Amino acid sequence: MKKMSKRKKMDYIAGYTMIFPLVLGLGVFYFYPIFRVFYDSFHEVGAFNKSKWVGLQNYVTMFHDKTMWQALFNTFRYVIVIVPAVIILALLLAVFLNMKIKGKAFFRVVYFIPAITMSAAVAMIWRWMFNGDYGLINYILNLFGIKSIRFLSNPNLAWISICVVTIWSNVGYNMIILLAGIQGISKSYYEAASMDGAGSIRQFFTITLPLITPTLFFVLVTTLIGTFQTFDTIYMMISKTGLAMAASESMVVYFYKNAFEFSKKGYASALAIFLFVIIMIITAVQMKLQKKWVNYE
Amino acid sequence: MKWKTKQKCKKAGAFGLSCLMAIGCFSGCGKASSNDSKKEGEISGEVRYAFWDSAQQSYFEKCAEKFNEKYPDVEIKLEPSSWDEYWTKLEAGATGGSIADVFWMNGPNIIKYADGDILMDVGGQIKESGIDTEKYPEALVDLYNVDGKQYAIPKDYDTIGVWYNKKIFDEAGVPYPTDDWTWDDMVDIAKQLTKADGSVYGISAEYQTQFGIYNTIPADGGYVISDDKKKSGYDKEETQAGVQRWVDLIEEGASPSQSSLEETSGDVQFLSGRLGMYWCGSWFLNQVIDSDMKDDIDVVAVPSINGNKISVIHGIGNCIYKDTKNPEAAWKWVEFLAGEEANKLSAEMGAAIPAYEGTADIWVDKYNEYNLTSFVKAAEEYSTPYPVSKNTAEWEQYQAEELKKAFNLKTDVKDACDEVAKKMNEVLADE
Repeated sequence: MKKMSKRKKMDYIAGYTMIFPLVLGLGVFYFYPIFRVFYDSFHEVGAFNKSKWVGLQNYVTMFHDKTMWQALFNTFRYVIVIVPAVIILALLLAVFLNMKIKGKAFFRVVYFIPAITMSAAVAMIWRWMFNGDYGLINYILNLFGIKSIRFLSNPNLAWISICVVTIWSNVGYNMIILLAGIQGISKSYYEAASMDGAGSIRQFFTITLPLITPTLFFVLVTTLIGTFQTFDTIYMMISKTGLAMAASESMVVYFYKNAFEFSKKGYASALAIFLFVIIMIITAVQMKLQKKWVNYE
Repeated sequence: MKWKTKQKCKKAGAFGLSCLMAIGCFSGCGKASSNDSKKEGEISGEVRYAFWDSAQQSYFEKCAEKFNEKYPDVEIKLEPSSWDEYWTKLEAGATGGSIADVFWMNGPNIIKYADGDILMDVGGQIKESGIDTEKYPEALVDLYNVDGKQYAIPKDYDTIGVWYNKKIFDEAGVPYPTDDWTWDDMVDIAKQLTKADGSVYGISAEYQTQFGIYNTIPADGGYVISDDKKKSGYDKEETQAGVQRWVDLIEEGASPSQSSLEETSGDVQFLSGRLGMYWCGSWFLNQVIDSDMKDDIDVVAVPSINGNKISVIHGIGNCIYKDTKNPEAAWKWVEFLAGEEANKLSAEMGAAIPAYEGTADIWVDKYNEYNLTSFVKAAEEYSTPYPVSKNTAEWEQYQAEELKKAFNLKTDVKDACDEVAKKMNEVLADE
């Protein structure tokens, strides 16, 4: 017995030692910043971290800040458009690429490429394609006699362009995850169903869809959180002070501006906390609702 | 038994490895300290030098070489970074204390850093070493003087001119402009150069500050910010006139639209032959030389407005961190860079217009196929400092957001300017 407990002890020590670097990294780069942001949100933090306690002042300012509400509205607009589009497209592609078709390995790679490409590079390429004077898309439109469209500087179109790029770059990754989920479904269900005479559409809705709900739930939660934090495509593609920026900047872009361009880190922290709370509530609601629609075998 | 020892070995190995990793995580952070082994009367140690233009790296390497001939025990460590990350990095370094010993400073940021108590007042050292500040452009020496304290000696300077594409002038049969031209001449030429099919525009009237409205506003008799840095000048009629000029060019179709210039910036459009004229700084020379059109381009002084000719002057200053571990070595490095030798070297290597009096001629001669004397003349005769206050970045943001509405022809210049004045005054009141 004694010997066993000694071994157990060793196991514990070894285990903790091995996760120590990771925990240390998480602590320094995640946990500490989270508490620090919370702390800073009650302070006025200027350049060089000179801070002064201001209580709830940052939050009061925030709720009176029209730009913040516009940014929040923009963020929700992104979520409402992007999340369903990504999930539906990813699911369709996953089902499609699960069928017995020629060259499906090739297509799987093609759809996955955006996921392994740096988002900054993606944004740069799309910025060129959307360009109003030299862009590829407008060049093609011009061939058909359509006048050039300013996709990135027209305030009414810029946010849609952002949606297109974000959807394009997120579909592949989610498709792979859903594909893995679909392939985890036992073949015997389909065999039984086809023996009973169910067509492929019927099979999709009665077998594939219900059995893939745990994967769908995962994809939904991660895409939603990711979309709430949209930053790089907007930052890279939209001119910083142009008219289109106001109509397309997300909460995170607005946070970045305050923190790193205006040196208002306290106010920026309050923005970050507000966004954090929103995401947390929505995720909690999803966790509750999952009992209603997610089937765990 | 055997199995156990093996397991133990593995565990020990893992322990060692994770320790190593943990150490590895941290070894990157504590680099700031340097060896303070100073011998009597001798200057030694390490000086870290941060700057944002990596094109000047080879120039500084040369400087460090020359500097080490005099001070062999000082190690100059060059730390270039990109413009985009420079200020974020510098501010983080200043906050955490790991900032470089000597670093580049510019106009929009000097007051912020001076007020933040990050910079060393080098006024005393300048006097001691007998540096004559009159040898440098006055506007720049003043730029780095905050509340009577001198924080930097200018390293180089830049002024504004109008670059033009000779080929487009030739095709339209328009004679090249001369340094004594006026704004009205410029507008006429711009209209003549513009082609109806939209393939060529006479000029870019993009919203720009340093090489745009900051020149025309003072020429029209207005100002961006009052001398005491307390009030915005945007509610003044003269200031608004300086903005209106540019918007008129867009409205008359002599310039591409603001949104076109936002998607493809003016420098790119100019260097791809779509613009006849392009206002920009002397630094643009480097881009011109690197382009395919270098033989088709020349430059002319900014036009006069109602008899006033004004160009913004700006330049980089070398600042020293207040709590640097090697104040003597850091100062010697700054002193060396401010000297005639380093300035001449800068001119020869074409890095930028050196600030030291007389050395700019070397730069002008080196590229004598271009009319570069206009830039030097601008510095000497009709330059105005870049308008700054403590929170320049913040009000410049509002200024851009509001004025771009006018440049996009969505609102009146007057309304946009009034809005800028209101927001800017709020920011200035908080400073």
